[in-house]
Amino acid sequence: MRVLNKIATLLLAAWAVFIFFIYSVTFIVPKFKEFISR
Amino acid sequence: MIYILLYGAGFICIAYGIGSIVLRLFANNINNTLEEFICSIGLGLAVLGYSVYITGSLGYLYTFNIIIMIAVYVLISIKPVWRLLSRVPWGRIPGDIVRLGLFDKFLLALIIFVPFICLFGVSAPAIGNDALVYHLYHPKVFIQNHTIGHIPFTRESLWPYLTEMLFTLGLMIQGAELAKFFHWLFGVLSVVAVFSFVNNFFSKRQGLLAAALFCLAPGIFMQSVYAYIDLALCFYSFMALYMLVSWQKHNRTLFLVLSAIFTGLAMSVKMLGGFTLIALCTVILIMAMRKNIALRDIVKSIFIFVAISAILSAVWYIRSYVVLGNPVYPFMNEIFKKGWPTGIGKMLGTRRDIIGFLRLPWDLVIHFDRFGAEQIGVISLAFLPFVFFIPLKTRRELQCIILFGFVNAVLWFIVAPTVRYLFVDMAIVYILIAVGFNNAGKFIKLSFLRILLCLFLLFNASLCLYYNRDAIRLQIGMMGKEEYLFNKERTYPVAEFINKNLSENSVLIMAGEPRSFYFNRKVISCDLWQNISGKDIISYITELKKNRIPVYALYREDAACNSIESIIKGKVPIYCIKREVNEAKLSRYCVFKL
Repeated sequence: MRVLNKIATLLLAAWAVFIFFIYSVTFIVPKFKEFISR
Repeated sequence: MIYILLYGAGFICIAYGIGSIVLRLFANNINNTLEEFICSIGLGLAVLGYSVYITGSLGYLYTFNIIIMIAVYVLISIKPVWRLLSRVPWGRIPGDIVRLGLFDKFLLALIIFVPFICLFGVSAPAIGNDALVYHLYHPKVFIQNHTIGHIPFTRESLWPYLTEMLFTLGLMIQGAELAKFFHWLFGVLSVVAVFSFVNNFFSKRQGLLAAALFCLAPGIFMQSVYAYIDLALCFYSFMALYMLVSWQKHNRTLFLVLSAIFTGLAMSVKMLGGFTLIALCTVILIMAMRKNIALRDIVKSIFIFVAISAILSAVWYIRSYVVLGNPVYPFMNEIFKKGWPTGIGKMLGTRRDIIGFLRLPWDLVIHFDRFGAEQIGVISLAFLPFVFFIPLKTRRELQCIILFGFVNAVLWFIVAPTVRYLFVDMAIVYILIAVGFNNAGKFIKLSFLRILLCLFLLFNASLCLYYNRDAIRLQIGMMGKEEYLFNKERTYPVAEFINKNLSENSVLIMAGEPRSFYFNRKVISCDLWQNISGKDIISYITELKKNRIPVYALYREDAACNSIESIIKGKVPIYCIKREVNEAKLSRYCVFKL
């Protein structure tokens, strides 16, 4: 049971990090580039 | 900023005072002080708005009359405000805050920090497309005319304008900044309402998390600095849902009546408030059927609900029908034979089918630019799996809000999928995530996930600082008002030229530029004039010139007004400037004497 709980926690964290990565590529990086170019 | 805060605090007291008196007319006590506070302010702001509307409709929209009205409201507000202040346990609050855990203190700090940063944006001059096209421009015209009613050759001036009535009040008392404050206030009230709802039905900790998640959604804090109306719609829709859930739980008719009142107010803010009515009627019907309530009682409840909502919002729709022959002008022109096909929502969203609907949680976060560019926030997708931890089977409140959110989202998806029209569903998603996150603690260890969530929230808080950076520079004196407006508002330089150089009685025909707020001359939109009159604008220009009225054209090079294009051909402009109209896209603005 303890191992299952750890896997569930890891999966939830991995999903959150994955989404943030995708969001960074589509939003944060272009915004940052725009900010630097100004 | 201090002036705005002082004015704002005054209006909060007035709104609470009169709202509390209205509330006491039909309710001696509701659940708790916080709930009574939010209901009262919501009702009070509506009373203020309707008072301005009645004064304006009668043609008495003069500063003196408005000041007398406010003075009367101040007098009657003193007692309820004093009663509230003496009821709040001031001595207990610091102790309660100290007793909060570190995570909860962090959430509370963010809930205070983000609206505070947004106040810099509120105190800066007005910007934002729709604000300058009509949310602020039409109140400015109402004040100039001392009357509230139809403005010829506009499509929005007879829309439900409850929030614009507060903007009118703000413009009369102080300026655009106070008008923006009212929208910010609706945002803050929505956050407090989310906290109150979750605190009431679940726990304080979950309430703080839900309020923080909602408050730190970029779409929410970004909208709060503009003179828009979507946060007012969100607040009244959420309050209507809140009161309906309370009715389901406590079975007191008072809550059903309050829910209907807030639905009516949502419909007085925006036509899309009608979605709230449909979604709540569905909730009443389905929840009653699940409880095996007799059909007669269900019909009675729905009838009371619809009747109260309709009575409260009818005035806006009736006046539009009487003046223009269409209660939702210019929409539904096929039914009412007045208006024109606007193509509302046609250009928005990704794919408009079941797969597109199911993909919404992903698309709204990753492809938000296709839904009007406001952001629901990355947390809504990153922490969405926690929704599976909510105790759905045992909690009727959750069933109600999910059903409401689903019906509202379907209607929104079909009609106009713009993120800012879906703020109330954002509140629901964040409530579900907060409840699920807390419940997940029973099964898994949350410490690591909590750190991750804190990082996400800090990222959103830094976005809030980023978006308000110029407003902060303006308020601390690093930038002037002129420079701020020159950088932020594309029409500002040309409006300044026109205000300084054109005679007072000039008429400006705008081709390709709808933003009119900064122009202090009579402004007519070429597209709207032709759409509404069904004639060519040249006939109007000829008539003006015959009456010796100076006519000018403001032409934007990507405008689609062929008539103006043919008149200005070969003419030398008296003023020209290149401005950024979209991200990195420049367009030339030229002024011509016709």
